Amino acid sequence: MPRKPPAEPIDHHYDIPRLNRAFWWAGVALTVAFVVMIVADYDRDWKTFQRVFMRLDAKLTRESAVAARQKALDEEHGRLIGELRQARGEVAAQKESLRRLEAKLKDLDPKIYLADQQYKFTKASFDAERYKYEDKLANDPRSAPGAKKGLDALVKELEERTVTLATFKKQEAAVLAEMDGINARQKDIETSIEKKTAAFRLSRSKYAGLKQDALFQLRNAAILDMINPTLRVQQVQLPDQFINVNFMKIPKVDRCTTCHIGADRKGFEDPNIKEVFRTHPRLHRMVGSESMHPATTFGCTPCHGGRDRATSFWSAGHSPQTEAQEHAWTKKYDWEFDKFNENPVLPLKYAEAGCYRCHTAEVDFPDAPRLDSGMRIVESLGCWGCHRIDGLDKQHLPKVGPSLEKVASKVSKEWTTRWVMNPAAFRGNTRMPNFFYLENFVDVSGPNPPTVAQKKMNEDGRVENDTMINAVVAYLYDRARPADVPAVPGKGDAAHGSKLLAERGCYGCHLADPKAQRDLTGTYRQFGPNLSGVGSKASRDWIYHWILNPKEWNPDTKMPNLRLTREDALDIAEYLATLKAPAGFDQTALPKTDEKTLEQIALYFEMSTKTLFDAKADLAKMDLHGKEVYAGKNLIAHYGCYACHAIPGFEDAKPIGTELTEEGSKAVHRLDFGFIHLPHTRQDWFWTKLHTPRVFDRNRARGWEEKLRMPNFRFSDGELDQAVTAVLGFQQLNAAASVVKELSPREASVERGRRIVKDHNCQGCHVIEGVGGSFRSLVADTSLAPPIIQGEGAKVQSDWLFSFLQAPKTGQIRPWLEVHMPTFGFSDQELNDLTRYFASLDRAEYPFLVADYATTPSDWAAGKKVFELLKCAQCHPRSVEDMNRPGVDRASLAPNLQMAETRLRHDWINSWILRPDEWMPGTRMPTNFPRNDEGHRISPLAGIIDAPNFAKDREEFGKLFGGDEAAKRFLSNPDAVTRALRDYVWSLGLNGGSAPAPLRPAADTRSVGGFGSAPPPAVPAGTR
Amino acid sequence: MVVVDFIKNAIDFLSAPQYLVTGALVGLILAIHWGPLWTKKGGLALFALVAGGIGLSYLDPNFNKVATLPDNVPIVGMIFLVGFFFWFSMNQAYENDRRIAEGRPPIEGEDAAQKVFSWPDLVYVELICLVVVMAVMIVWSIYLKAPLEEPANPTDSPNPAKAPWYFLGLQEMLVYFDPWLAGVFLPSLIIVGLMAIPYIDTNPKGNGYFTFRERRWEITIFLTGFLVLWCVLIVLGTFLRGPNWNFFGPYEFWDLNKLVPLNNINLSEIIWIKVLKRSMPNFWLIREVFGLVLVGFYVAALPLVFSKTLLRRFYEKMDPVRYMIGVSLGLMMLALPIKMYLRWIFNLKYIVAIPEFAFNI
Repeated sequence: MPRKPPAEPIDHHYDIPRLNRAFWWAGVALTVAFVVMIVADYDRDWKTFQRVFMRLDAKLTRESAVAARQKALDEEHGRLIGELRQARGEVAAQKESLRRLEAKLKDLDPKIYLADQQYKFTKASFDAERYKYEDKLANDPRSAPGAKKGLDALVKELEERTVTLATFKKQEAAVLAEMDGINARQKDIETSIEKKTAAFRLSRSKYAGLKQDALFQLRNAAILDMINPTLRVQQVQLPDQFINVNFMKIPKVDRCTTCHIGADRKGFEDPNIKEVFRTHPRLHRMVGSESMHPATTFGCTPCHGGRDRATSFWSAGHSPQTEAQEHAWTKKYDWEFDKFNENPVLPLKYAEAGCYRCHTAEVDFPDAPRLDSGMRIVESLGCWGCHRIDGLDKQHLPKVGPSLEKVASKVSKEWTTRWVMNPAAFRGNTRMPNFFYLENFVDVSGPNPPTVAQKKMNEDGRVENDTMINAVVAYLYDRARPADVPAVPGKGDAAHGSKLLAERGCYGCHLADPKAQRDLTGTYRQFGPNLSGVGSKASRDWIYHWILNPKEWNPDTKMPNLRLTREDALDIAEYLATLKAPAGFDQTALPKTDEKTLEQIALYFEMSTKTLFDAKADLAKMDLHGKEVYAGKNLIAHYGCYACHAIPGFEDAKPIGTELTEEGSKAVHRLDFGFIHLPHTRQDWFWTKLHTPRVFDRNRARGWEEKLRMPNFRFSDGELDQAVTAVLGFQQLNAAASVVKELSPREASVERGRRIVKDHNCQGCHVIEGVGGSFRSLVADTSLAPPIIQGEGAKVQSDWLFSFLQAPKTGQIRPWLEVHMPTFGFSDQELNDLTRYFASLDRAEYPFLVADYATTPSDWAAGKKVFELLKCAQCHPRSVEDMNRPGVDRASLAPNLQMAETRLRHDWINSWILRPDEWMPGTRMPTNFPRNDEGHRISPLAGIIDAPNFAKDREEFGKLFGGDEAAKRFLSNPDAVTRALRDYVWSLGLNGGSAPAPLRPAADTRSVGGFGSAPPPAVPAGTR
Repeated sequence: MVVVDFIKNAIDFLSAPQYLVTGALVGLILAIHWGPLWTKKGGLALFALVAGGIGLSYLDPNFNKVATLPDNVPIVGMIFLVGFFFWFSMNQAYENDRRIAEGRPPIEGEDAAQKVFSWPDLVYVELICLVVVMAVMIVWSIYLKAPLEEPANPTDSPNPAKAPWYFLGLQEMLVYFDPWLAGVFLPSLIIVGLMAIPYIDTNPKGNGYFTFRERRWEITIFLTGFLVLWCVLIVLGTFLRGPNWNFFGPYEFWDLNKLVPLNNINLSEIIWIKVLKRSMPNFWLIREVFGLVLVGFYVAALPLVFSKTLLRRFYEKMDPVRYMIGVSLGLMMLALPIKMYLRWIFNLKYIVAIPEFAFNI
């Protein structure tokens, strides 16, 4: 079938010129869009930052170049230039000979070239011929002699060539040496000028590189910047730091230094420099290439948080510290809350939280003060009791509250009830939190006026709390083990007791100040309870028995034994009994148990294990008290009281709170914000939770059993910031094990010791590692205060320290002190840990030592002589009799030297005598061997001895050393003098200060402090 | 303010899936039969209503928060685009129907005999469209940044976890069907069904021109599937499904704490416990026998029943194979609204529930 021809095409369906116009405009639009795209893509904030930084760097470099130039172009430079000119003139004078020498060189050059080439060629032929010969030897020995001939000829030729080359080279060297001789002076001067101006030239060339000239603009122009731009994203790959997306770990790539260009460079510390460009404030610890946390391994975001690969202000996840800052950022950087960023930058005030995830094994964080305080709060308030925290769990902390096992014999039921109702009403600075009458029970509507239903809830909540308190107290008093408090006859002297309380060191751990505010981080004196009001709490007799021997009452108490006499204890108890509770506390109305509520509470707990009917039958069998005790026990479990207090029946109970080990990495959406409108960040939630723990129940209509249980610790704002830092610090590690701080054995023993020091509040009295000693400020004369513990490990013998800490004896070292080192009742493990701790701190040997007491009689005698010359005995008693001699001012005494041999380390003694000011700045021990201008210790004795009034001494020294000169040599050598002094001091304890046998074999060493060492000198009891 | 709040509450209430889908179904049937809507005036009025409503809604902070998310903006655009083309085709269809009734050819038939070259009349226009679309897309992508999130973390999924916008209709089906049905079987069937349409529907009417009257059934079925069961469900999934896939009215705050009871029961429970008051048989086949029979009836017997009754006209027009495939596909499509209504009215979870084999219908 023939096809039908197509209908004639009409011209066009559309108006083509119109389409052309449309196309033109569309093209324009696309071009514009394209340009906008290029501009938008090119215009990055970080490029501006880098440009501005370059200008800043250029400015600073210019300044330093100018300064360097000034320093370089001084008078000496002018002189050098003059000398150079002169030297050049001298060289010019020898132009003729120089020209001659140069001609010689020119003549030699081709000869050397040729000789060298011929030598190399011959050597190559020789190598080939030798192979040929060796091959023949191995495979065709008969023709070997023929090959040998060829080789021999080459050997000869090679020798000749070597000689020729060496000859020419020698000639060349001679010519060069001659030329150098002429030029030497000029070259020397040139070198010193170069050296002098090196710094200047360096900064000048650096400055030249920082110019944003035409080439710079070209290299960084849009599109052209794909070739080799100078403005580029700076990044550091961190293969050991991960982003954890579960089942996969993505290595971090930090690009922070793209904008924070100055962070790892010195020279940008000036606070006037914009923050973004400033040097890291702790460059010696962080970021710096020589610090322990170089940026190449640790980067920035692993500690600070934030999006590692981001290159804009917002996407990096910067978090504002305050609302004002938030507004400023919103205005300046278009900052907005990024709900997708699970790991934003920690606000600056919480920055130290980043340290903890790697340093969980450590006890103190001296370089991170806010974290340190935060951890102190977490530890001392017992957060870890309800919330497992892995790092602290491994350190086995003791419970923070007192044992309630014998509570009935200490305080009355009424007092306990009032205390639980509101601990702060009794004692403002207590660590015990409020569990009852909190917002989710008595103020469910918050700031909004309560509805009728909410009013009813508030009323019910109050009744529930009343009933709960009575139930809890009922259980405690039902189970408290009865303990007799025998009556103490007689009456103590309260005034004397008050004095003793202050003198003996009780205030190292306790306050007695009704107005005190809680301070867990600034002072060590709030370690034990505030003694104010203690008289309203416990009876005089109880206090008497307690302070006489706290461990007898409660073996787990941290309260040490102060070895009080019965009389003293009675005086103190008498005084403490006069400290009464704040007015009104004893009159607080006691809560009333509501039987119906109690029934409901008890029923709820019964129902957890029984069916409704069994539970009801069980309850029917109980009387009111029985129900209270039953409900009380379960409420203690419900609220976790046993986390801080030892309570009978809860010996193996598990913590009730959320585990906090990785709380700082918890996804924000897993934190329950309830109906409270807060910024959805971890820090805002933690802050609010700690501030008003039960606020997230607001407007919720829940029964008591579903309500939040965390108590209110009455945190101050400062404490909140510190505690939030700690909680934010409990993070998932997300790093390779290699970057985690691994404690060396020495560091581990230091940390173990720190734990004990912290748990027993040693720093309440002593300054240890430079901190603590709060008690010392209460003592007017610091020489009468508990000593500063510094260099202790290097100073004392470990076994002495062991026995001292185990059982300190009153008046052992400084009998004149009123303050007593108490007996802590440390375990063997703790004692070993402590002694090792002090030794480790000073990197001293532990535990055994060899003391090489091998002195000669003359050295010993010289030591004794110097001892007298320096009048050491004026302060240092040499025996017990010395100490008790009438007219001795005890307050100005120094330790008894008779004990040196058993107490001190042998080689420490001379070191101490030589440089007491270094061992313990501020010590009263005079510095007898001052430093000279070069910093060396000198002995002034050699000079003094020449004075006429020492003529007799001089004579004696001369006799001892067999000559005046030898004596002088001895006296002017501080090491020899202090060694001799040491030997004398050592003998005081060893044999009562007798001269050693003349021919004591040098090899006779004895272990000091081992078994069988001499017992410490007996000190009569009662001396102090 | 009271009035505004009342209106907002009313809209929130009426946006619940059961009312939204019912309204869309009824509205669609009524609308396509209501001529005045498809005139220019009607179109303008419709546009004014939708645009005004959405525009005013932006004043509401909760609506604003959701509707301005970079990934939700295109869906607002989709409402207008789909709406426009729906109106345009219906407008043309009504116009053509009028012309055909008058004995005139449809608009498209006016110059059907004439030919033009593909260049420039076709390709040039396409080129211009291409350029314009590119320009718009570039500018859009510059000023409305892609809402990129953190690297995916399987243990920490976003809430709500939403599929890409074009799959939100499927995701909505997951509320009513077992995943293997909603996620595997039905989507495959949609593709197969779309491919089969030219072979099932061989009616040449409407080829190359818009018409409604000549293809009343086909257009109704298609629009029900496309507009109600696809586009409306996308809009529902985008704007009305919040945290935990709970329903939120357009002016409601997306509160994480919102709880909705999910007290659904299976057909077997209804029959055995509620009706027969007997304990459930242990053996699954006996337990689920009612559901299996019901499903069997729906799938196998109903097309046969319809061939004699309701759809006899179609059965007679088409050959049996084509009829069976067409009706089966149609029944599958209808299964979605049917299951939805069963859920809304009877709290029905599954018609057949065999957890022993993870098989539920």
